[in-house]
Amino acid sequence: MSVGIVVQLAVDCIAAASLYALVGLAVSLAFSGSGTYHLAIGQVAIAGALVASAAVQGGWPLWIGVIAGLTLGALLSAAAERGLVAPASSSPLLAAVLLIAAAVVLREALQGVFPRSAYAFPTVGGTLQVAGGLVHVADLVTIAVVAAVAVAGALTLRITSLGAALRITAASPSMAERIGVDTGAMRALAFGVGGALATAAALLGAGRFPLAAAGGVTLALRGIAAAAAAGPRAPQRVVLPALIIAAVEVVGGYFLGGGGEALSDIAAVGLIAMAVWR
Amino acid sequence: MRNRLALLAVAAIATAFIYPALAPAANLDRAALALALAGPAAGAALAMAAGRPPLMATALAGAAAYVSAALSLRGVPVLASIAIGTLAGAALGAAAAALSARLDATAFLIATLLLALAGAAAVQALPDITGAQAGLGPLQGVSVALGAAKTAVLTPLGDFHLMLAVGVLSGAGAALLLASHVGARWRAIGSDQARAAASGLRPVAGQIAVLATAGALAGLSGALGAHIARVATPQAFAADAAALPLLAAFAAGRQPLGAALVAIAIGVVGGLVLPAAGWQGPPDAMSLATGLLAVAALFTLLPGGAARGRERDLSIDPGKPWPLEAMAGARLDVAPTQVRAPSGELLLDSPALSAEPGSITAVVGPNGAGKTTLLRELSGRRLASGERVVLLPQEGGGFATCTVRETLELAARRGRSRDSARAAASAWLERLAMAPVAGVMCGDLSSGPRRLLDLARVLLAAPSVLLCDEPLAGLDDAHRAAAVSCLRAAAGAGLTVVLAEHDREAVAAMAARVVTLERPGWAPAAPAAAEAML
Repeated sequence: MSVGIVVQLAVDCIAAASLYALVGLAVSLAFSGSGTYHLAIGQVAIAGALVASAAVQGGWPLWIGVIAGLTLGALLSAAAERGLVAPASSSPLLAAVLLIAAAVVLREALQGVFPRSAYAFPTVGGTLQVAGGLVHVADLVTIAVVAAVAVAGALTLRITSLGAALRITAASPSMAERIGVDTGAMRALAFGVGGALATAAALLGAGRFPLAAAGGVTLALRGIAAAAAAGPRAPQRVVLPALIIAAVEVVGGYFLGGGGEALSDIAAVGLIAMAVWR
Repeated sequence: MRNRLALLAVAAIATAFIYPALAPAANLDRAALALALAGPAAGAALAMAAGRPPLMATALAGAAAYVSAALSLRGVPVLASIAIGTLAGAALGAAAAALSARLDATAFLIATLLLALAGAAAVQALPDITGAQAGLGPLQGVSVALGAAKTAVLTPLGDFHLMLAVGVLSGAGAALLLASHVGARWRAIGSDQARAAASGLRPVAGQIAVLATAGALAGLSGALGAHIARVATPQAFAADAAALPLLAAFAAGRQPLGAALVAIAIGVVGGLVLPAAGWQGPPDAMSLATGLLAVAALFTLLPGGAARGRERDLSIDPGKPWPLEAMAGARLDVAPTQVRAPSGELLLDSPALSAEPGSITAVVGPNGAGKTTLLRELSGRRLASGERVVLLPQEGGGFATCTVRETLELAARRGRSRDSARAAASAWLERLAMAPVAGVMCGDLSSGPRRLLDLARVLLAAPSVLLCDEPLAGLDDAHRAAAVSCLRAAAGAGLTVVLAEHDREAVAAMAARVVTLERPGWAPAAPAAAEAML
């Protein structure tokens, strides 16, 4: 294998891992506050991304489409927390099943509005030649955007009072309430930010996997796998499991000449199974 | 229960006669398939009661359908295929329970969702065997060989009646099972595995049995449903289908009969009513019905009229003798013990400790000194001679989803015949003045009676060493006096008692020996420290 191919596969792998890590981060964020896996995260993200796609295809500027998509993803996710997870806070099991039911209803509703098997969303075109290998500019943009989001998120959590309130809510809701933090609002915020992050992942990955109403399961499976394998309260660790899933997808697909998505689903299921067993 | 079952029988018989007379013949098979949801829902409710909420009940039905379909297509008689499919559902349920014995309820939920998705992937990956999306078929209808090369095949009306009977019997059978002695064991395991194990129950065996039963119920419905629909399809493995039985169980308050009826109702609404009303979606009729069920499940979380406080008039006389048999206490010797958190922080640094049979040893110390940590550490140990060290935890008490009488009888079963266990449980019921609330679920008792009930539970299990974590915390004067009296009587009967307690007055009155723990240089973050972060 030439150096060029290695570089090409490495960039492809890191770009895919960035997307899965972003969804994993969203799942971790939601779990930190509520103790519930956001099992509707994929469908929420797809809803936001499809609306963004429709806006752009309808002639609106790209940035308006992105903002509309991210906002919808955030609102749907926060609404799921307020409407389903918070009322069922005494029963995390019910909350998880309710999120699945909500995802099913949302998917069916989206299929009525967006019936095609894939929708387009603009991606950055072009390739670069690096060490003899072809690197997609879109992959570099994905990596850069996700890295910027991660740094901004980490700084927000560390140095702002909002971040501190989020951290205290995650660590000890009762203590947070004692010092005047609105834990309900913090949980909704965590879900909302999670929804926006996952929507961003769906938009950045529009050239990688089809943007369709039924695409939420794939995105959710890989993100939940990354979060579960990292430990759902350890968002800083989602990168490694995301890299494993992406590496199986990219490298496996290269050597087998296709079928990388199925391999990565198997890797995701394996990681979740290991995390669950652990 | 008897009245409910009688009502169910009347409703089922009325449905069997009235519905076919009113409905178009084409709807009978659809109605039969709605009835096929009863088995997975009843099974899911059963499994939930034992603390194993499965997201794979319909996947078990689907697996049974494929097994039955594959056998039937290879010439195996239909009834035999259905029976083997049902057994396959039971075996898969038992295997899932055995493989996931270490998981808590939430992890089990996720694991079973994965198993369902894995089933869906397997169906897609093996199209030559499964027929992929088109499914495995065409299958022969439900039929009975009559001999002389004659076979009776059920008509759609016969299918409907058969499925109605199976659905009703699944719900009723599961409800009766859960209310029985076996069901009480499963509920105890679902309430608190550690307490159940301390009372001599075997949680893993119970969970395997309950998942096998759930698998059989789901499998029978699934296999029959495949022969009624003439095809086994992969829809049973989808996330939509996975959620429905559990939502039905939640909406029905975790009661199998109610869950079966709710699932049937959802099947009727999604499969018959909404399409007949012209609903074309989006979302499709079944998804809309599932969404409505989710809303109904949420409503079950509204505060209900629990029986809490019904025992407020109970009064216990601390002076009367306690129904304790002679107890074989064991000497407990513990070397100096240190316990560290995964981060390396020292959580416990205790001196050597010994406790004699027939005496009470108290462990005292400030908050954070590690009293509970020490007791939990000791409760995991086995004494050299194999005697049992049992912990009376501070939280909860009894088995939340078992009645007071069931809790005492389950605890008394260790080393006793059923009759003598009943007699021992009755004696404690009388002594605790709880006979009037014998049929009340422990989770509905207030904390005082519940804590005393838990003390009775551990004493009935005849431990050699009893560790009590703050047994007097939060009790009113009457219950405190009763608890002190009971613990002294237990020590007097020969038991070795070690208790962690803040109440120095009670300690002075009870304990022959006091061990003091110091805080090992660790303290929880004060609220002020957290406030400073803001």
